[in-house]
Amino acid sequence: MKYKDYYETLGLPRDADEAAIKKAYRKLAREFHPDVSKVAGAEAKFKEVGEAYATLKDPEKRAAYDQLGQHNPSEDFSPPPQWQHQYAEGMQGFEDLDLADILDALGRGGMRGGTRGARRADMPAHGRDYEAAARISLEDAHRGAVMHLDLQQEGGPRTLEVKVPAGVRDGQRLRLKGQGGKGRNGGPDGDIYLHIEIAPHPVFRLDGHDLSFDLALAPWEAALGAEVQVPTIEDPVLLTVPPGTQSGRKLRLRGRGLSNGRGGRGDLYAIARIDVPAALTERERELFGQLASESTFDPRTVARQEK
Amino acid sequence: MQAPETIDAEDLCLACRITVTELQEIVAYGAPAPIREEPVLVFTVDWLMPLRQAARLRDQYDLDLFAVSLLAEHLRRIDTLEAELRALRAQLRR
Repeated sequence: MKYKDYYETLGLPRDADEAAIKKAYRKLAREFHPDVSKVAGAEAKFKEVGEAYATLKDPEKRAAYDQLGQHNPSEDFSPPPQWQHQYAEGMQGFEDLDLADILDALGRGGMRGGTRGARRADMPAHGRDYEAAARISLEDAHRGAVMHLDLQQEGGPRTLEVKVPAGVRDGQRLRLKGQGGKGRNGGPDGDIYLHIEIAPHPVFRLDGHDLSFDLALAPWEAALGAEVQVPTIEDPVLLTVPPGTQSGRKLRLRGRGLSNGRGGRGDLYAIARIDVPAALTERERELFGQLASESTFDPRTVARQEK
Repeated sequence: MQAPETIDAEDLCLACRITVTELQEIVAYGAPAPIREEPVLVFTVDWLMPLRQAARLRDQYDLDLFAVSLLAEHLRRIDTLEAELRALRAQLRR
């Protein structure tokens, strides 16, 4: 069996107290946490540190480990003969075992009375959870969709068909219960956590289940009111623009937003934006000129009065 | 198919790999707050991911259950703020 120097892994003297062990572990776990560290081999180091801590934080395991004395890291050594009796009765030997497995077994009351690793193998085990990301269209978020996810599992790659329910929100993490790795010995199957991202839409902007879009209006449509055809996530509909519509006004089409997955729908907002012709015909120039000379409307005055 | 809005204690514990006794202690520290307590504790489903993440950090950093409760509350707040940020960014995307 290969020796591992857990004290050295945590950078501690052999007489370190519990508080020092915890402090050293937390510092190293923070440094090498795979979510944080960009250092090559950080994940392996994180596991090493975790393994060392699992033994040294437990007084019983630590005492057993200390019994082994100090060896050079990776040096072959033989555990004391009483370990065979205490922790692994009925086993052929320790040669092929990892030190961490034996100490782990010690924490669970030893391996006595069975074949190697039997206790661990017989225990119900929860199936593995998987996390995946999926980018879906606005239309799929509205109607629901069936997707195919490629997962890397223990037994090799696996393609999984998952149903994304109607009404998912951007940024939502869906739990697909029981669709992860298979549980063992009666343990429950794992889950898949699917991080949903809704792709930007060329027309609609999304806020929860509400949608909005910019509605371009001619000045006379905004002033006089109009019936205009507007897009929705399904078919276009007619929208009544009231007379005197200001730029930026939100016109609501109730229940024309995205499905919320509970039988309801969000709203659709048309946000008025008044456009003027970039180039005027002679006649248009004449009409605008006539309007300018006859109208008493001064938008700056209105703006000042509104303050 | 609809995304569920609530999750009961047993299911939450299963997903977060904690025991019901541990969950009860975490709840006693203030978060997650159940929306129903009888006959079983029931939570809104938006507690699932923050609590799962907090429970994982507990294993990785050997945190106590009080820290798990605090973390879950802050992680949920981050989730809420991120959702608001996404919505505001979408409004700006013109």
